[in-house]
Amino acid sequence: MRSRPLFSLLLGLSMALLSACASVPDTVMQDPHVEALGKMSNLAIPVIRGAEKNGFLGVQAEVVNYATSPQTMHYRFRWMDSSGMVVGSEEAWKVAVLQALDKKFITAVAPVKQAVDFRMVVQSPDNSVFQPGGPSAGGPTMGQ
Amino acid sequence: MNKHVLLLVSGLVLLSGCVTTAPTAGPGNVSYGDSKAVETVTNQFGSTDLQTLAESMAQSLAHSPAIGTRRPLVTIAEVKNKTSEYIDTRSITDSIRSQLLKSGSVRFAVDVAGMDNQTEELARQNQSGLYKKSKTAKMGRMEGSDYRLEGSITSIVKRGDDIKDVYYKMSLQLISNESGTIEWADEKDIRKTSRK
Repeated sequence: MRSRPLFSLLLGLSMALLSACASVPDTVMQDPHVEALGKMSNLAIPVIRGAEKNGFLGVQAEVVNYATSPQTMHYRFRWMDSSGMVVGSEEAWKVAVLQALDKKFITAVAPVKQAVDFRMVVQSPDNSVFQPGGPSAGGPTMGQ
Repeated sequence: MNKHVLLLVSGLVLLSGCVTTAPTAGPGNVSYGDSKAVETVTNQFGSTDLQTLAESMAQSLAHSPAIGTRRPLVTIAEVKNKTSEYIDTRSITDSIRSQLLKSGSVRFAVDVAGMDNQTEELARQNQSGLYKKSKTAKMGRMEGSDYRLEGSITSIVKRGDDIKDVYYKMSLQLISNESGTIEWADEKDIRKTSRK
């Protein structure tokens, strides 16, 4: 009988620990404009909006961190013209840091007016699970 | 026994036939990397910072109402390095200029650094007597820029026992040469932290 409070305590602790490592709920879908290198278990980009701005395609991506710790995300955009050809130079990888349970809006504007569509390529070094046959390196970083 | 050796040798010959060699020369201790990768070798100003600042500033300026659809003529004035480390600010402004030119939103006039070459070329064509009069670039037809781009980079460095934090901020502004008014300004900041 004495083991019941202990069991409840352990169960409570386990639940607390599990909630501290909260990951992206299954109901949250990544926007189809997102190309994730591997699976991001803590970060999600459910909505990306695109609109013309001064003749250029402007983009706003909503990034959500479901973890209770800060998360880093690498990202860059790929721009396409009306025939699906990539336009503009290859962009540099950029870094975004999201605080615990934070939401961030990342904005970008197409480098040329011919761009009418885009893809946001993302990679999270802390939680990416690479698919078999996917990139074997630890992400788009260079250094220790 | 001899049969086994023969099979082994045949197998090795077949396997070596499948080996492909890379089209490289050298001992192999040098490798190429992704020039667009996030560089975290040290927390000093690096290639990722340069690329990020240039992209961000070029995007912001290309889409500002000050530029609009008029394709104004711009020249690059100085970007002052107010940090404690050596940063080639010219490289940042060169990248910004390239991206703006590709966007087609502005034109650039020769800046102070390129003026010597420009005047030398004009003088060579007009004063050396080597060129056909009808094919020379005429003197007195250079265009003065509508705007100049100038700014600065500053940094704040903090050190703890086992931590170093560096904060960079780049400010850029577009100034009308005629009226002296600031038509556009933007800032981009970067924080880098390293632990021992």
